[in-house]
Amino acid sequence: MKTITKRELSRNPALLSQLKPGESIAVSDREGGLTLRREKRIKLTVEDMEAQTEALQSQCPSMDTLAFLREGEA
Amino acid sequence: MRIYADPSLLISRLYPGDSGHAAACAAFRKYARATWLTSAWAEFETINSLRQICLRKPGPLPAVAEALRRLFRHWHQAGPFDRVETDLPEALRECGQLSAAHGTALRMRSADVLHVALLEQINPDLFLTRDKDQFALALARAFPAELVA
Repeated sequence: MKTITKRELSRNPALLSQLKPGESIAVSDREGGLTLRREKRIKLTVEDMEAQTEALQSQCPSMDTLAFLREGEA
Repeated sequence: MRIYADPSLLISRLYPGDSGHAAACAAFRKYARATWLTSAWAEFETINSLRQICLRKPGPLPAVAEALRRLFRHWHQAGPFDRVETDLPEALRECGQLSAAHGTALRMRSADVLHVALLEQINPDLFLTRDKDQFALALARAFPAELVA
């Protein structure tokens, strides 16, 4: 998480506009600081996420990724 | 509920051709209301691994790995994933302690240990993994953990 000062924020308030959903920025001050967070606007459902990965199913050959990625590891 | 899942589960969830994909999807349905936490290390390892599986013959095309990378990012922006900031030097010190305590008794792959070390900082309600070695290590450190098989 990026940290800025109150002075930096007052000089460049557009810093807040650059925050993406779910991102936070810390503003330091003498009283312990503040954390500003842009809330997520859309909440994907589990069903949405499953549909998104299933759409790629035909391009994904079957494999045991855990076994493949573990080959030769220490 | 806050869940930290290691890349063994995240890759299975993202890659629909994986033999553990159905189990990973079931875990997400089971904890549909949870916030799924990730670290910079988990994101890197997940995305790098999705690229690595392109090396398998037959494997996915690089464009598929890129599509999955974008999807993972989208799930952070609009889905249940939140990246938490972590202190990697502190996590490496914790890795050393884990190794000293369990390195001669449990199977501990160097890159994987970092996820269990990060649990100390992230402090999730539950750690999920598909890797039985990671599961055993998390339990040995008394973290609430679940093996997704």
